[in-house]
Amino acid sequence: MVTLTSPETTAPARKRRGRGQVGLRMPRVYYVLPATVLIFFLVGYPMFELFVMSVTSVTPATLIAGGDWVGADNFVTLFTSQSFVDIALRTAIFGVIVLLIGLPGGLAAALALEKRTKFFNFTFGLIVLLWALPPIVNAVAWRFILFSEGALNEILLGAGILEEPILWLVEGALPLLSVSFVAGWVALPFAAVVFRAALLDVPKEQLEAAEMDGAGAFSRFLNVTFPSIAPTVYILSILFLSWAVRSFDFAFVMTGGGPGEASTTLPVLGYIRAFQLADYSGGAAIAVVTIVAVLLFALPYTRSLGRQADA
Amino acid sequence: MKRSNVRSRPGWVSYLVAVFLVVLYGSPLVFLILGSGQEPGTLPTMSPRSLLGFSPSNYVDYFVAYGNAMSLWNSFVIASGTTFLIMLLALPAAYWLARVSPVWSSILLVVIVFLQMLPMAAVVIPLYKVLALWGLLGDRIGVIVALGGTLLPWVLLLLNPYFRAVPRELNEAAAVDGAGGFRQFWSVVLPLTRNGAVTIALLTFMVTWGDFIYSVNFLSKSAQYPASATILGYVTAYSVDWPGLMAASVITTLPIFVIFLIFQRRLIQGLSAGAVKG
Repeated sequence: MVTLTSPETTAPARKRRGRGQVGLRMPRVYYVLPATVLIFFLVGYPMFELFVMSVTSVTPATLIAGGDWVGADNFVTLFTSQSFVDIALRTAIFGVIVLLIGLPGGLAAALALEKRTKFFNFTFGLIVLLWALPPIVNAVAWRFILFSEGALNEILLGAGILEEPILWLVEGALPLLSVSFVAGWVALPFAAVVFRAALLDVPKEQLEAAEMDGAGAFSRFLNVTFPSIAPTVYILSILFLSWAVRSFDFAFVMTGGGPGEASTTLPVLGYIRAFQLADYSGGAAIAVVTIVAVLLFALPYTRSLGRQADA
Repeated sequence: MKRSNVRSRPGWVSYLVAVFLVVLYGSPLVFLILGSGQEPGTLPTMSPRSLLGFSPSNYVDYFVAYGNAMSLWNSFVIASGTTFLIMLLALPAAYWLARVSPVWSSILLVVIVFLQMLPMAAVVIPLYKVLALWGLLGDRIGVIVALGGTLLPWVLLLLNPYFRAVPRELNEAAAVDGAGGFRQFWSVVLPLTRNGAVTIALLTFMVTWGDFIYSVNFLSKSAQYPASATILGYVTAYSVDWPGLMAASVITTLPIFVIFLIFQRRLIQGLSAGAVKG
């Protein structure tokens, strides 16, 4: 929620069935034709248009007719600007923070809520509910909590912990950290769901044997639980990083990418260029770069899915 | 769900984590609800006093004064239209994909993973032009087909394992009984994947309900906006009307909240089943 948010999720692995049985007819191609047509016209062709926009000069007047060919100019302008380097770096920081909150947080939640008592089930349901809410709603709630006169400052000032409000969405690196935190906060419940399922596959006999041998809780986790869930950790890392690079809603709603460009990541930059500054070509070039960055994660992801299917 | 527990009771650390999570995930929701009931245009305060005076005026204003009377209906049309379109195309496609030769299926899965990772904030730029070319701007149909195309690869990826889990032998047996290709799909395979398909349809509905990027760019009149897009109107205004914004957020959330409560078990199980195997 997502979006998924953005929509983030993983595909289960099933044992591959025997191949090439005799007497089996393939379903005819018209089963897949309508889906292919929709994807071709609404994804494939727009991707082609995006590429064309990025190598031409498109203004609002020439949006439909198409602009003049400028080659790599838009990309050269982009890559040589200092702000692009900063924003690429911010995008990376954003991704790492999402990972650092989502993965250990999700694992901690899954471990803590492993026993299915009423209270733990309620807690689990609550965090998954918040994951499932529209991202824009979560962003609004956190914007209210974190803005200068918001709930967090009200509480901290009221309790006498702070004397001056902290400008979470304004000051220095705080806006980027705040937005990353909220994205990680949304990622955490998803990781918890995935880890809770993975924990069911941890070999119980080994855990019991380790306990009888006198291994402490931490040692049991390190030597039995973690090796068993390591593939899950790997796949979730790829998913979260690729999700973070394409994440748009939280920064856009909480800070609008600001102040200045303090919390702007690549997709936010491309969107603002295209739709708020009407620089379609510049926005398209940024979008192409964003897509390439996201797609770097697609290959390791499919490979790990394939490995699971073969297991 | 009973599991053999060697050690009978959860330790205090587990309770500490759980309480922490309840606060961390419960408070944004509580703030939204409390704030949405305060004086329009004021700065919501979370003092205990605010617990007492909950006024529904922001909710009335949302529908009447701000002209969002149709927003929930718009959300429903867009979300259910997109979900229907996607499931209609994705179910047969996922079936085909599960029956194609392993080489082809792994190549196609790479393509599908690529497609489902495309950022919406990037795709929206050329889509705006493409929909303009086809005269679909300012029309809900435009939003529906755009969302459908964008999310179809993701749904295919989610459906794939459910269809792969149906043994090919069932097709053979049905063929021996004289069932044609379509009957094999419709009466044999589809009923076996129903649980997964319903869960994924629910997820699709929830995701499309929350979209605002496509709606605010592809629709021309705010009277066409789904609830999620009306929120953005409050956010980008020069001064934020917090209680109004919070009421709009609660209104947008409520249907998702209800769906989640009804299907909670199915959604969580579906997510776990559809999740990575350790």
